This record gives sequence, structure tokens and C-alpha cells, in this order.
Amino acid sequence: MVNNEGYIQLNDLSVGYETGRQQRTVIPKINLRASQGNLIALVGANGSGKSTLLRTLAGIQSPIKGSISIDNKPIESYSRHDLAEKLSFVGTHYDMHAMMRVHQVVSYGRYPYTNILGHLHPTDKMIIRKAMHDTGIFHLRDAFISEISDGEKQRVLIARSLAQDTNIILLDEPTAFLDVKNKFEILHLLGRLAHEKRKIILFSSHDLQIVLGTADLLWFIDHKKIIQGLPEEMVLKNTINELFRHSEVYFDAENNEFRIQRRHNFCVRLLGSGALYKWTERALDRLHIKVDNRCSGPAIHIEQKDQEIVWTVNPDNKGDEFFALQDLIQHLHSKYGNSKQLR
Amino acid sequence: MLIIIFMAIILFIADLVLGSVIISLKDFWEILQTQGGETYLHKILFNFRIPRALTAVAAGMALSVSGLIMQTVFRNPLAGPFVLGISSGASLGVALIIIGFQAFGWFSAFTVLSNWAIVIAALLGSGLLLLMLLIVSTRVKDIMTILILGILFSSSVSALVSILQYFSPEGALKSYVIWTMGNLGNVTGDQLFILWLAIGIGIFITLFNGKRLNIMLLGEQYAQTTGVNIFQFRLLIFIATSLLAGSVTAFCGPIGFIGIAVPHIARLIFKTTNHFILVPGTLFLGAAILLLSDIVAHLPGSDRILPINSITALLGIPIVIWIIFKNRNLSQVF
Repeated sequence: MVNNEGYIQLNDLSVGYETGRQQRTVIPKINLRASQGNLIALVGANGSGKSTLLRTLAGIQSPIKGSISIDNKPIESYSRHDLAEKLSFVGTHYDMHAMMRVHQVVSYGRYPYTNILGHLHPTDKMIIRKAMHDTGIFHLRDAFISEISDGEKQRVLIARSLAQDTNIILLDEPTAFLDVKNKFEILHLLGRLAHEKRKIILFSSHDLQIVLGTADLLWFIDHKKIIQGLPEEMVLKNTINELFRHSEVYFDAENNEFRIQRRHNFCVRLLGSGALYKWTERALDRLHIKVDNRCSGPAIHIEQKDQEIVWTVNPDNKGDEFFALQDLIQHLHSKYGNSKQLR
Repeated sequence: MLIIIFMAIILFIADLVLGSVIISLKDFWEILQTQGGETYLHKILFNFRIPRALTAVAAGMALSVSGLIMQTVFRNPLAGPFVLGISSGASLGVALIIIGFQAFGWFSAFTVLSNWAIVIAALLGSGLLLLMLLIVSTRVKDIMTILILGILFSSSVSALVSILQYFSPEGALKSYVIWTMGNLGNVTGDQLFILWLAIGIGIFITLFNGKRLNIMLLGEQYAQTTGVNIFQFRLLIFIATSLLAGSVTAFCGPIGFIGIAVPHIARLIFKTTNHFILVPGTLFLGAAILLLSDIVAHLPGSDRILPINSITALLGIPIVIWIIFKNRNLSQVF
């Protein structure tokens, strides 16, 4: 039954921090609920309060107002130790002690379950091995932290929180400082864990492009409010572009990419299709030439001939042919750059 | 580990037999077997050498372990037993008592109290500074801020000591400077017992916190979210450090270098960060290195004694440099 599922509930929660006697609320009155089996991305601009919210949920800092409850019990009623069996936290990886071995870091996830000497029982060891298998780092178990890559370090920390065996996993910027391939792989791993192990996984990120394709839900922080929705819905309703209200950047919903609003010097018509069309258009746009098929400017025809790509300017009049995009754009700028009527 | 324990035992015996008078191993064995002997060598051994060696073992262990836990808690390879200001606090106490008493012409009273007065002054001084730091750390959550505050406290206390030194008579100044050079030979009887008791408790608290120290290596956020009560942990560790480093400083003066270097050497030797291995390792390694320094300081065969503080640095630094070159990179290990 749904009622037996674990959840984390935020009731009128205000988060922020105290400096001396002053309180600074970063996000006021949050009312949200996350339930098992969901990978939730907390998205927002720098300084919007992503980390503050995560740290508050993890019990590292106290809320300013309101309450958090986990599985029907307020968070304050848990002891530190009991909370550690419900919720684990994955912070940044770059300040990890370099001379720890991978299996050692993962084994620290068993901290709440072991005795004062940290003795690991066979069941603990099994859980640690499984956590390393599930995150694909089992082959690295004896390596030192200093010997593995950033993406692998992130996996080690995720394995550690799996070993902690909690329903809820909170991650602060798990994809920061990773390359694109690793970003996708880490989020894919988190999604798999959320679905297969029915966990609540909440992570903060500013990699919108990657988050949109992987998260089940977005918690979108905009102007001290959190909007919840499916990532796709956020795109369709143009919520995403609220982030960039006063900037030259916008999210191109059709192409799932961020673009910069540019000033164009003149326009051209582009004849072609597929990837050839799209990438030519991008290059022209970046170099201040607008592509508009109602334009009175020159027409450019693109086609693939054998191994080569040929750009022809004004093909009807047997115009110039170009075999490099750079040459084409240079030509266009020198010929049409000063013609005011084409803007 | 066994090798290090063995080394420590050998050095302990060497420290007993070597000195201004060199006792042959045969004589040493005979002295140990005779009950209540009153020979000249017997007196040297029981009244001077054994207390001194026991002090060296205690001080070596205490300084190294407190250095280890400070490096872990502050996550800083440059931290040592005195980052909390323990030695500066003790210096202030001692400076006040040596220089102050002499300046006010109470020198005769001071000589009667001599040893105990210095010990108590040092304990009070370091205790006071630690108390200040603990009060501050209830309000400051960030461990780096506490580290910086500790250093600031130490510096301001050192400044006070400098003022005292500037206005002090020559004799008092020399007594004070000699105290700062460290001395393992002044601790006997009751004092030795108290020193070992304080250090025993300190080591017990450290081992009791071994699991938490391990998890601390991941950073405080991880420690907290896996169930560590950070405030309680810090309190216990600060108390352990002040027992360990504080009592050594009170009885032997501020002995430098050992506390910073030995933990690094131990990490390199044992190639681990597990405190259940590092703490015992550091204990024996620290004891061995301070015993060795003590032997060298006594220049066996001559009747001159060098200040122990200079020897720990002169002896220890080449060891660390050698290890760094052998392993190329110390920060990779920390």
C-alpha cells in the first residue's frame, strides 16, 4: 500500500542561515513531499539556496521555521543515530583524505550499525560488497582514493551511502566537476538506484540539460519559491526560461539546449536539411548572421557531394561554392556585412 | 608494528644504560636482579635513568598521539599538539611564575615550590586557554575558524610572554628560556605517576573515539550524517589533547616537532589512515623517537647534556626529509 511507503515531507519549511543574531531566510515556506522510487533534481541558480535546503534536510543545519518529517515522524524526534539509518548525505568529493582505500570509505557507511571498535560482521561486509557492485567500483576496491578519477570518487561516495542502507539519499552537486560522459553516467546510476531500490534520491544540480533527460521530478527554485513538476512539463510551460529572465541565455525547448540571444548583422536564407542545416545554422547564428527564410538576403544551399560538404551562395545564379564553413562565413561578412537593408 | 614495538624496547634499554656514565649490559642485568642494592650504579639507574626513560616514553607517546588526532580533527597536515594553544598557555603560566616571582623579589618562595609551582602554573595556563577555546567553539561551528582562533590566541599569549621577558631580570629570563628548551629529567615519583595517569586517560579517550576519528577523515558533514555528535566528539578530543599535550608541557616544557612529525611517519610506515592501527603505531613510534632523541641529547660518555628540544628537531627533520624523498609526496599521503 502507498501508506507504507517511506517519504520525506516539508511543512511550511523556511531555510536559511544565521549570522550572529540575524536570520537570513533563503527560501521561505516550502511545502513539498517526496516519496520512494523517485529521482528528484533540485535545480536553481547559484545562491538560490540549493545547498542550504539540502543541508537542512540532512539535519546538518536547523530550519528557520516549519518542520520536516520523515516517515510520519518529525525530524527532531530522531536521534542523530536513528536519523543516520533513515537518511544519508553525499557531499563534495574533492576534500576526501587521499590515502584511504575505496573499500574503507564504503565501509564507513556501516558506521551507524557497528560497535565502538567499528567491527564489521559478515552481513556488513556483504552489504559493502554489494554497494560496490551496484555502483560499478568493485574492481577498484583496493585502490587508494588518490589513484582514481573524479567520476569514480563520486561513485565511491554513492556506494558509501548505499552501504548506509537508508531510504533517503541526498546529494549535493554530484555532477559538479565531472565531464559530460560521467555526468550522464552518475545520473543514470542514481535513477537506476531510485527505481530499482525504491529510494528517495534528491540531488542538487545546475546542469539543466542533463537533468532534464534523467530526473523523474524537478524541484525548481525560482525567486525564493520551489515549483515542482515533471522536467518535460517545465520545458513546455516555459518555467525553465524564468531562470534566465534578465539574461541573454535562453533554453531552446525544441533542441534541448541553451542558447545565447545574439545580435545579428544581416540575414540569409538557408536551403538544406538535417544535421547539415542545423549545424550550419548554429555557426551562422554564433557569428551574427540570422537565418530567416523570409529574408531578402542571399540564399545558401548546402549539400553533401561524395565525401565533401558544399555550401553554395545564390545557387540560382551559379554563385560561389565553399568547401569550408569558415570560408563561407568570411565571404558573407565581407560582402553583406555593411548592407543595412538586410537586417 | 612488532618491529616498532621491539625498537621502542631496545631504545628504552639503551636510554637506561647510555649516559654520562655508561652502564654495561652485564652490570645492568646485575643491578636489576639485586634487590635494594645501594651501589653507585644502582642509584643512577633507579633515581635518574628509569624515571627519565619513563618520562621520555610518556612524552613521546602523548605528543605524537595528540598530534595525530589534531591533524585528523582539523584535517590539516600542519596541525600538531599545540594548535589549540596549549603550549602558549603553559608558557604564559610559567613565564608569570618564574619571571613574575623573581621580579617581585619572591624568589626564595619560588625555589621552595620550584617544580610543582611550574607544573601547576603550566597546567593552569594551558587549561585557561583551552577553556577559552571551548567556550568559543560552542558558538563557532566551523572547525577551520576554531583552528585560526587557536592560532590567534596563541600569538597574543606569546606577545604577553614577550612583554614579560622584556621586563624580566637576567636570571629569571635564563630560567624561563631553559624551561622552553624542554627537560625530561625533572619528573620523578608522584609527578611521574600523575603524568602517566593523565596520559593513560588521554590515550583511552582517543582509542574510545577511534571509530569517530576514522569517519572524520571523510569530513564533518559525513560524520554528522552517519550519526556522530560533532560537539560531543570535539569536546572529548579537546579534553584528550589537553590531557596529553598539556601534562607533558607542564612537566617537561614545550617539546616541539615530535607531535607534528611522528603521525606523518606513522602514516607512511603503516600506509593506512585507520586510527585503530595508527594510534598504537604512533604511540610506539613516538616513544621510540623521543627515547632516541634523549640518548643523543645526553651525548653518551660525556657529562654534557643538550636541550632535548633541539635534538628532536635536528634528529627528526632528517628522518622526515628522507621519508619525503623516498615517497616523493607527503600531501598525497595525508
